[in-house]
Amino acid sequence: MDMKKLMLLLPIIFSFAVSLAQYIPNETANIIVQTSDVWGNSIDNANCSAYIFDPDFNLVYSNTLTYRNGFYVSNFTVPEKYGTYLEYVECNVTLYGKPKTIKSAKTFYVSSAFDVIERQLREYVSNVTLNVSVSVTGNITEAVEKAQEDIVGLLLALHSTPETGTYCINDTARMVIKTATWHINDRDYNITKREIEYCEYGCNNVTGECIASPANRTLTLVFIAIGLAVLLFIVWRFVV
Amino acid sequence: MIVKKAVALLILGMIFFASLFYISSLPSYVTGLERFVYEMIPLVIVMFMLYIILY
Repeated sequence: MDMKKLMLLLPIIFSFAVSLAQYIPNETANIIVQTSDVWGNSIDNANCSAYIFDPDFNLVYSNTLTYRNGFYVSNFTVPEKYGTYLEYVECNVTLYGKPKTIKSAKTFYVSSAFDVIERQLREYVSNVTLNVSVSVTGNITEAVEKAQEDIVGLLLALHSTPETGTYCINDTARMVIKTATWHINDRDYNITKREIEYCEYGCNNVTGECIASPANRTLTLVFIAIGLAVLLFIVWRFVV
Repeated sequence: MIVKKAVALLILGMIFFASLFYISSLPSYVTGLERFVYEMIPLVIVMFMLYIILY
């Protein structure tokens, strides 16, 4: 076996990168592909084509990639349909006079800005349900990135926000609802936080609040009685 | 003496209305002797006010 044939057996490194794994409809996304041999030298004579399939596996985009500074690139407008898309790239290269086809595939997710924010927020909080609505102006990608930081800050503020609603789920648990509206950087955030709280001594169906422990209730009553007795004694002592 | 009584009645009157408000918002799970004690508070204050007025 001569040296050229031996080299053909060597694998070709084929890296395939996209700038983001999550997109919002109508956003412009990039497909970036790099082809290189085992020594890291980029292959510049490849003929690369990209194909994008929607969640129903219908071909929604196909284009030939352009070679730029060692990378094969193209951009596309993200479709409006939500779901997981398949990004498939096929490159035909000629290596040592022999044609070879290399393929790679990757998935990305398309959803609304609200879904992206909600999904990111769920990584920060647990045991709560969040409804986030955002009015976005300007560049939507930047807005979502900034919104994430803003809303995490708002969530921390929500911990000290009074309850806006509460109701009993059953005898031992209640739902706490906190709502807040925030206006920052020309964006409005309406957040509803729902949190389940365990009530050890039962839940009051009328007020939706946890029933205080019997010990605390007795203590409160004793303090009120003592306070009242002291007050009446003072009035009686100095007036009557 | 009258001024002292007037001040005392004013203070007791405020406590009386505060206790009434507290009872009206008393949770429904407070029952029995516990509720009875709370409801007796304004009555005790009224009795004391009457005592101050009459004597």
